[in-house]
Amino acid sequence: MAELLTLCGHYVRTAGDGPMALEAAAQFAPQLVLSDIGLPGMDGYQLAPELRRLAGSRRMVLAAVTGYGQPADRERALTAGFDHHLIKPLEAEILLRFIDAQAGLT
Amino acid sequence: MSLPEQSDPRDSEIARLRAMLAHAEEVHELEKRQLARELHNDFGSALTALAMRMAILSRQPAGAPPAADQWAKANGILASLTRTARRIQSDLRPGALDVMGLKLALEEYLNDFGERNALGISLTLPEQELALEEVQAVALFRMFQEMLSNVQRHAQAQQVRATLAFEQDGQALCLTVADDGVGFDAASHDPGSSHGMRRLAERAAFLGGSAHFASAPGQGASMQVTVPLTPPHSLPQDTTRTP
Repeated sequence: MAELLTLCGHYVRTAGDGPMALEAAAQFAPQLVLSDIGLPGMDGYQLAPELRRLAGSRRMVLAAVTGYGQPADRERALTAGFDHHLIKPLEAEILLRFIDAQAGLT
Repeated sequence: MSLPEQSDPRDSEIARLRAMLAHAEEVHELEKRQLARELHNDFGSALTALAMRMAILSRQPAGAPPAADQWAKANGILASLTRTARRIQSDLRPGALDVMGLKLALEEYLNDFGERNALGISLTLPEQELALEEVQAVALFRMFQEMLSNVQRHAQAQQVRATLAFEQDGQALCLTVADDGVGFDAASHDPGSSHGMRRLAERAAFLGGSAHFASAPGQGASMQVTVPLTPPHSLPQDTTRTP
């Protein structure tokens, strides 16, 4: 995913778990975060509010990319602070269109 | 004043069957959840990764060195997906059982189990052919899967030894799986509290057999099921003769 987005001209940083994601976000100040929910240790639901707190008033789009596709999973992701809930398997064209559609990222 | 109620043996049998049915339903739900988790963990991520690789490839000139690298990575993901699909298929329905019979199906499953979990394995099988009813062969294979699944989930073992042997002068078959893992205190462990053990005991009881568990902390564990063999149904001789 990171390779594809880089190829399409985006600046991308990756992280293997929640704490690494917070560290990367603190340095990188991302405009958009794509995060799995089932992460080792700190899951996506715990990560989202931490990322929000870190971003403060800065605009940042948070999208969960997950296989948990039930309406209750989507609800939980939105409650945790995600703006979007994308379900795996995810097609590349849909991901790219989604990213292009985010205001300020085109 | 009321008379003490007489306990009817039929009531306790009904209660036992109800408990068994409730457990079977619970197990069915657990299995569905496990399948959903595997689809999520293995398929969702791998298919997404494959989709990304293909998208990268479609954006690169054919024959460029990075394209060859992308093709190799895409093929790696595809191979891993194929292995996962085969494993799930085999877990759902042991196809090898229909084609090769129980002995080879056990061998194939154990080899794959050892490879997947980086465990040493050994398997001892009887030389004689097994004349099993389909229901017996399927149940023994399922119990074998259950035993290995227990080893994978709890044992932290390095080595697994499996044995299928005739017992009681060939009147029964005994399937044993032993490991060298962390073990548990068999004396204080209630087999009914573990889904795996309870499922094994119920399957064995269904076939008129029994299940036994032996272990001690740090001493590995051994699971054994013994099922009686019934002679395969044979057609009456006169129906097979030509007039």
